[in-house]
Parts: sequence; structure tokens; C-alpha cells
Amino acid sequence: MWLRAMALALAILFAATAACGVSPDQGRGPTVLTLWARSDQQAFLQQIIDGFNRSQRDVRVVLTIVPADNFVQKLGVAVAGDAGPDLASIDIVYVPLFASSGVLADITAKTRGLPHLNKLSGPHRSNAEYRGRTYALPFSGDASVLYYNVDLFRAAGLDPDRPPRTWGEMYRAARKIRALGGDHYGYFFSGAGGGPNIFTFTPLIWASGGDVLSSRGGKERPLVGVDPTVTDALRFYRKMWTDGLIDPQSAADSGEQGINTFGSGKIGMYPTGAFGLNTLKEDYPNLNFRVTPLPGKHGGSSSFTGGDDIAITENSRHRDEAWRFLAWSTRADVQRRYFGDQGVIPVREDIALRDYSRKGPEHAALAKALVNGQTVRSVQENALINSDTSPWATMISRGVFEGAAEQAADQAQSDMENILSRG
Amino acid sequence: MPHIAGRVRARTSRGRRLTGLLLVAPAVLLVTVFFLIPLGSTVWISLHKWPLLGEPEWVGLANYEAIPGDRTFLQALLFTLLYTAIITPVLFAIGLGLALLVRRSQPGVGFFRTVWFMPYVVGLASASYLFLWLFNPRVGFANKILQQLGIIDQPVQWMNSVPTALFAVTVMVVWKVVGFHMLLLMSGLQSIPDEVHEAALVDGSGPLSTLVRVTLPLMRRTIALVLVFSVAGSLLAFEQFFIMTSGGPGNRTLTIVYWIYHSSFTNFQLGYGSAMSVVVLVVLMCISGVQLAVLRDRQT
Repeated sequence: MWLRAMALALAILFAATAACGVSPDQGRGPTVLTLWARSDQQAFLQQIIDGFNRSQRDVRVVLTIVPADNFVQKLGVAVAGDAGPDLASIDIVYVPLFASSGVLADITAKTRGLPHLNKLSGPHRSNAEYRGRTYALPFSGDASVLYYNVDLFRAAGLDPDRPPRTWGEMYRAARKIRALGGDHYGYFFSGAGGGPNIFTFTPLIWASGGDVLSSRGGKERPLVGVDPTVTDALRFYRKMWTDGLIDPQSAADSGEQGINTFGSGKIGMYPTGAFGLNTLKEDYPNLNFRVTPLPGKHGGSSSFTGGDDIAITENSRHRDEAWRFLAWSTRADVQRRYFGDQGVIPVREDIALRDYSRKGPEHAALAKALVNGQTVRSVQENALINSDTSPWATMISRGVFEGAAEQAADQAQSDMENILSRG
Repeated sequence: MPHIAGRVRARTSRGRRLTGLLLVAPAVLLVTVFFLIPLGSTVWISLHKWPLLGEPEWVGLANYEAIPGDRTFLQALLFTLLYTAIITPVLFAIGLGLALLVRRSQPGVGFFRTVWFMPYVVGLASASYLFLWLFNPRVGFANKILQQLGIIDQPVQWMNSVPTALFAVTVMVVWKVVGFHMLLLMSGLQSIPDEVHEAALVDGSGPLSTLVRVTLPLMRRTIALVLVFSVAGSLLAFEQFFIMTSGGPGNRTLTIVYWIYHSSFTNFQLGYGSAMSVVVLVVLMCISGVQLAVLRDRQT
């Protein structure tokens, strides 16, 4: 008897809490979870969410798209004001900021129960950790590689089966392609943005044994003015620029034009991520291209592992239901079915290297790049690197287009130290 | 006897003091709640690393020490001074011109006073959006009119270069606030007795020299008020640039308040934003102090 009374009380309590939540269905319908994501993720996310909603009876996820430019700001302000979503898909470079500030739910215990935890992308996981606790799970993957135009390689007398493996080979390939004359250029990169260059320029430094930022022991320290590899890499770009091997439009591009310029068939090499595959295949079906890892100065290769982590916010009232979405999204069948298209590499390394890689050699190269890649970790990532006028963006444009590589790196070092010294 | 008188006096003076305190209490309360406490907390926050999210951490004067090394701050400060140096004389000259036109009561003057003052009651943000659209390169009226007049061949990308962006913002601000300046200057003009102008006329002074030698010196106080308003307002400019230029191209139309906002709510460095606010407050007090000292009535 008392058991039934208690069950009833519990049921009433449960209904009452559900009614207090976000659910507009007065506690009778499914629990509604809100998920915030950036505008450039809409297409593939909607498919995943629809898939999840079909698989569940009592939980429904609703997607809210936030403009990419002010996602961090909107999410930060909303969560600080207790008006945030239940779930947020966050660019992994911004995850350390949120993880360190106590606005994401600690999911350490829950992740320990995931059998495939160590199969998930390492950089995605390390950026989600703060003081030994876990605040997010890997969600969607991306990696930077070098795209090259096979027809131009052949026309210039280069072997497309043997793409550049060092900076020197990159330079020589660019030189030969430029020698085709007209408006053919050896290289294109988006020179006016911090984001595109952390994605495609840093791997050249990493592959040569250098680094741009250290966060050892939780203490962040910029390295751009300390590590000579950074200056070397700037000089390498500088030389291609002054020798006229780089398309002049590179200087002003902040990431919008790159893919179309490469698609036009006049560019020999262009570094970018997985989204380029679909865009090029759909918009430029006649373009004959391949991808290869971004090389180091004397060999080796590296990649920037990007994409999103997914987190439950601290003020979500439905953490268990939200966790169900997280766990579901990392399942092998889900990763296989919903990720891998639309420019997203699965964050499950086993799936990326097996199922995703079977789609073709470009996919296989991207999957390898993701697995071998690194990322940057800073709570001030946006101010240091991604924002348009960050020290990093300024360093690239001064060092490459104005030529004062060493000075540019020194200035970036002191500007970054200044940003980290304040708060 | 003197003993009792003393006590009575003491009691009344105590009563008067209490009444006085009660009378100023509302003002003191308002100043405390809306000025002193916010100012105090700004200073307090500025002494911390104060992320929007997470725990604040005491850092002493570190945020102030970082300001001289912050290139963006210096650049924003210079741009804000440039904007103030441009907008203040423009507003003053046009405001004075309009004030001279509508100073006397004549038939129809009320209409023009109203028309010129009306934009002042439009919100600054709404006005900014309105002009953002007027200056839109593809559908805006500004390009259309200039093209039809044959002044330009190609549509101007107004927000893509500093001079054109600054021009667009200046036009908007003049349209929006010049009526207010006109009103203030007009009341200053009207406070000068007609006899003074008549005397100047009798002495053979022309209209221009009357304006420069007689009218303007007599309007010292009004001019001081108008200039303090305009300089302080321009140094704190934010909405017009936030909405019309977004600080671009390349942060080169970033004003100081915009940078404070950006540091606080995009970089989440609230402590640093507060430190910059305190510095701007001090700068503003100095500038207004100098202005008032220069324009003070020397007779009084």
C-alpha cells in the first residue's frame, strides 16, 4: 500500500518537475531538449536530430541555429543568464573557454561508461577536459589537408602520384604551375583570416616540430615569437608570395573565396578541410583534384583537427535525457550513417579509418589527417587567434604580405602575452 | 537663562539638520544607487580577472598595466578622437546656422523648428539601421541619387573604407542630433537682449562681425554646454558604429566604447573592459574640465 502511495507521489513529483521544465506539453508529451549550433552546421545536424527523434519516444531534440559569427558570445551570455540551451555543439577551439568556466555539466562519470570512449578523436577529447574532469564529447570532425589540381600538375610536368612532401617540393611545384603562365597560380590561401590560417598554416609548423602556443600545466604561453619554426614558415609563404606564385587575391580573402578560386581550375594547391570535398564535387564536377597531408619543412606531415564537441549545459534540467543524445550520437551505426557526409568526418576514429575511408582516397587521407592531427587549446582562443584582428591574423598578413617575418612574430608574441595578462 | 536658550537653539538646529538630511535623502539615495555603487563595482571588477562565466580572480592593477601594450585600445582611442574632432565642429556649425535661421518668431518658423528637431526623438539605433539601409551599396538611396546626379559611376561600397564609412556615420549623426544643438543654441541666442544687437548696428557693425564679436561671446555658457554635450557624446560613441560599420573594415572604425564592449562580452574579459572604462572616465573628466575652464565666464 505505502509503496503504491510513494510511487504515486513520485509520479506526481516527476510530472510537476517536467511541467516546470522547457516542455510546453504540460508534462505529458516528450521532454524537449534545445540544442544550439552554428549556422554552418544546419544541414547535417538536422538529419542527425531527426534520426535521434525517430529513435526515441520520450525525448525530443529541437535545433536552434545561432549565427556563426557570434555563437560564442550568444551562448556565453545566455548560459550566464540561465537562459541557455540543454545541449550545445561548440567548435572545439572554444570548448576550453566553456569547460574552464563551470557552465558545462561535468559528465566525467557518464563518459566512463562509454565502451568506445578511447576510439573518439583525441584532440576533441583533450579540449573538453579541464582539471581532469570531462565537460563534452567529440561530435563532428574536420581536418586540414592540401588539395591539389591533378590536371595542372600534369600540365606542369609534375607527377600527381607524388605530391609535395616538403616545403621545398611545395615551392618547386608552385613555381612550375605558375610557369604555365596566364592567371595560373601555384598556391592559394585565405590570407586575411585568423581562423583559416590556424587551420592550414599551423600544420606546416607542427609537421616541422614547432608549435604556436603551449598550455602545459594549465599555464598558457604563446610561442610564435619564441619558436623559430614559426618565422621559418612565414618566410616560406613570403618567398612564394614575392616570387609571384600565390594568387594575389589571397591577401584579402578571409575564407569565403578560396574554394571557388580553387574550383575555377587555375590554382595548383590550396589547403582546406573536409567540407571542400563535397563543395568541389557538386559545384565543379569537372575539376580533377586530390588531397595530400600538409608537409613539414623537411618532411613529415600534420593536420589541424577541428570540428565540434557537444556539451550539456550546467543549467539544463534534463541532463539524463541530454546524455542520451550524446551517447547515441557516438554509437558506431549512428556515426556510420549520419556523419561522413556533408563535409563532416566521423569523430569515431575506427569508423573514420574504416567505413569513411572506403568512400575514396580523399576520404581516407582526410580520416588519417584527423587521427594524426593536433589542435590549439586556449581559453582566449578567439582573441588570440580566430578574430579578424587577432595577433595571429595580423602576424600572417604582416609576415607574408609585408615581409617583416621576424618582427611580425615578435609583435604577435607580445600582443598575445598582453591578452593573456589581462582578464 | 543663557543655558536654556542654548538648549533650545541646539534642539532647533538638530531638528533643522534632520529636516535637511531628510530633504536630500532621495537625491543621495539616487546618486548612491545609480552612480556610486555602479562606479564602485566597476573599479572593483577592474582589479580582477573577471570572466563572464566562472570565478573572478584578484589581479590588482594587472588590467591597467596591460592597457598601454594593447594596440587595439590605442587605435580605438585615436579613432574616437578623430571622430570627435570631425563631428563636433560640423554639428556646432550646422546647429548654429539653423539656430540663426529660426531664432525669431516669424510665420512658419515653428514648422521648421519642429522638422529639424524631430529626428532627435528617433532612437539612435533605429536611425543607424535606417541609414545603414540608405547607404546600402545595392538598394540604398545614397548611391542611386549620386549616380543619377552623375557624381559617381559605380555604386560606392560605403562601409568598406574608413573615409566613406565615417562620412556615412557623420551624415546620420548630424541628421539625428543637429536639431538638439539648434534648440540649445537658439535659446542662447534668444537670451541676448535685442538692445545689444541694435547698439552694434548703430556702431556700424556688419552682420558677420556682430555674430563673431558680439553674439558668440555673449553665448559663452551655451556654447560651453553644447560643446561638452557633443564632445562627451562623441567620445562615448557606440551604437552608430556597432550597427553601421561593425567596427570594420579591419577594426579601423572601432571606437573606444565598442572595444570595451567587445573585450567584455566577446572576449569575456570583463575586468579588462572595466579597467578601460575607468581610464575613459578619467580622460573624459579631464577633457570636460578643460573645456569648462576655457569657456568659463571670466566676469563672474
